[in-house]
Amino acid sequence: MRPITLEVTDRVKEGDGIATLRFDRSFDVSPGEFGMFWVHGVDEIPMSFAYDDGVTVRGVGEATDAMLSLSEGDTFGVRGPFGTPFDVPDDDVVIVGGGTGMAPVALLTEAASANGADVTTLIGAGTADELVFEERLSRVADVRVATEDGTAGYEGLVTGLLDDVTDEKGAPSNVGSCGPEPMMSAVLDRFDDRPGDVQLCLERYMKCGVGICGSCCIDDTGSPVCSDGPVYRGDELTNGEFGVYHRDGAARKKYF
Amino acid sequence: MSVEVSGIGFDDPVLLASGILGSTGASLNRALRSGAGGVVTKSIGPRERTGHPGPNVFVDDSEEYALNAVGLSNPSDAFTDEVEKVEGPTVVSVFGGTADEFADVAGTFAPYADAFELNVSCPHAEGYGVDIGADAELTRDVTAAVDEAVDAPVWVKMTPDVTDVTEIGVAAQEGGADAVVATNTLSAMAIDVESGRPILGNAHGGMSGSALKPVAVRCVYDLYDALDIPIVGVGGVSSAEDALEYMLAGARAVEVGTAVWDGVEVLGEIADGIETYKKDNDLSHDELVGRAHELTPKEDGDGGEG
Ligand SMILES: Cc1cc2nc3c(=O)[nH]c(=O)nc-3n(C[C@H](O)[C@H](O)[C@H](O)COP(=O)(O)OP(=O)(O)OC[C@H]3O[C@@H](n4cnc5c(N)ncnc54)[C@H](O)[C@@H]3O)c2cc1C
Ligand SMILES: Cc1cc2nc3c(=O)[nH]c(=O)nc-3n(C[C@H](O)[C@H](O)[C@H](O)COP(=O)(O)O)c2cc1C
Ligand code: FES
Repeated sequence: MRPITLEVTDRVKEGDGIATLRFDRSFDVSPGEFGMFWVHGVDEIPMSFAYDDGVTVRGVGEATDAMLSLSEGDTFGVRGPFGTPFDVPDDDVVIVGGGTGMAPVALLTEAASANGADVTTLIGAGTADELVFEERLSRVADVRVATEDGTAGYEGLVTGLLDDVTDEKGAPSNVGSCGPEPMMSAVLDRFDDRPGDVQLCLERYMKCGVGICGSCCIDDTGSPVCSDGPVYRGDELTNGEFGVYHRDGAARKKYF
Repeated sequence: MSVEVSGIGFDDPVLLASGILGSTGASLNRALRSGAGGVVTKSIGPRERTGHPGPNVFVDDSEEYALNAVGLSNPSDAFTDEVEKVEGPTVVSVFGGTADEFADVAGTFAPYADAFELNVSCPHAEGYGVDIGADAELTRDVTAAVDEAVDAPVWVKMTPDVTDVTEIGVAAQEGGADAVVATNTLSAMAIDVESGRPILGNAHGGMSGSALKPVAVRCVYDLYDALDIPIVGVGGVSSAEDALEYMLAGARAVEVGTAVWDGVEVLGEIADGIETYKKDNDLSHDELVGRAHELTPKEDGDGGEG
């Protein structure tokens, strides 16, 4: 598809250097699906849908900073939605999120809850100011937060909070996770006896978004994350690069 | 089903095209597992490049074509770690700005390449690609330099953006090419009407997909008449029928690019379809290749369309 033009209808500051942009068109999106967002004159970058009509942007460079500088009435383009989404559980699920992974986590939390599942969502951040969607998700799930500096909730890594929750509630039937890869890798480690029950949503360098260019392929399956993923089950990610490295725009390896 | 091109044997005549799911050893192996008889790597150059700003690639709503301006992104020498993992016939695509750069890059990859494909035809990276491949003399020099530097067969990839593709094909053959590949993408542009901007970050790009096929088939047909070396057809192959069209025009093998968009399994499906056609029509591969020329009425053979 060619890009579609969207107009910003609302901009909400979520935290330090993080904002949600809502736009004038809603898409039929499933949790984990993403768009290729075209910031006119700058670049086109992948971004998960955080709402059926919105994205939550964390400024880390030129294109994301340019997106953050957009305000009501400004326009940008999008191709999508693309990708293979989460399977939405209907029994019980623990969802672990952090960083730019909170968009899929929010949609998955809402979809699982709508499906009648018992949902526990754990949100991790460095500090309280970086926590997003706590209030939004508390309406439909048991939400717990962890901050590394202890400014809110559990003090420490969100995986420590996951251990506490597992002790308290017993092992979940399903696990979903999206966020920094070392975090997701640590989540998967805790369920290494049944990796097929764990769904993980990956980020890789994307140029086409539709399974042609090869910039997003992961080792050692060679699977293109933009079309086979971004959501994988843990048993599809063993013996590969998951949690270890990714590749940049020139296909050079970068270790986490 | 095995087919030989320039002395290299392939399990089947359907190869993965350059720049398509071909930046890592694992993705190239995935194409081989899906039924490709061989793979062509992403074009590798003398220096690492991140490529152009996005949008880099889109498939048109009609699904008849894609436009891309990836910008020859590549990790240069670091790609040796990837190509050494490939478990099948491997054609390493190389590019450079000068004959020496082509020869240097090819030399680096000589231990891993069953053949080389020279990208003198990318339409969207200044100083590279078509800036060489639209010029017969430069094409001859670059081909000769690589031919001198490596033992493996050298394939030269043609641009369709020239008045007479056979002039460039002949120059490649004179330079020592062992095969030509026709074609790379056609120089193109698309503009987003709502924003008024060219869609590709680089504005200019290359068109691939079904819409390219009649242009590239014509190139293959004309090259078959003009050359003694084998031809590999590429451009808009998404089915066995498409591949057979190229073979009837004179291609010994085809490469598949944009069509993997529908799933990489298409590679094996095309190979199977070609085999079925040969059996049903009781044709050997040699009989199939170029057969349209025997069936072309002489008075229609002047290349005119009137
Ligand atoms: C499926 C997916 C979903 C994503 N969802 C979100 C989201 O909801 N919110 C959010 O803020 N960010 C999200 N990202 C990350 C976002 O795409 C990058 O932060 C963005 O591309 C950075 O571009 P930049 O120009 O601002 O930074 P740059 O300075 O260009 O790059 C900073 C870092 O971002 C990464 N990056 C750059 N370009 C790309 C690219 N084309 N594809 C992937 N990574 C790239 C690289 O690791 C790079 O080191 C997602 C990425 C993927 C793959
Ligand atoms: C995203 C993309 C990247 C490409 N990169 C290269 C490249 O690096 N080197 C090259 O010789 N051709 C490259 N090509 C051209 C293809 O190899 C092929 O010649 C062209 O796409 C026509 O075939 P198709 O219609 O089957 O895609 C690229 C094409 C696309 C779509
Ligand atoms: S981004 Fe091009 S194949 Fe995934």
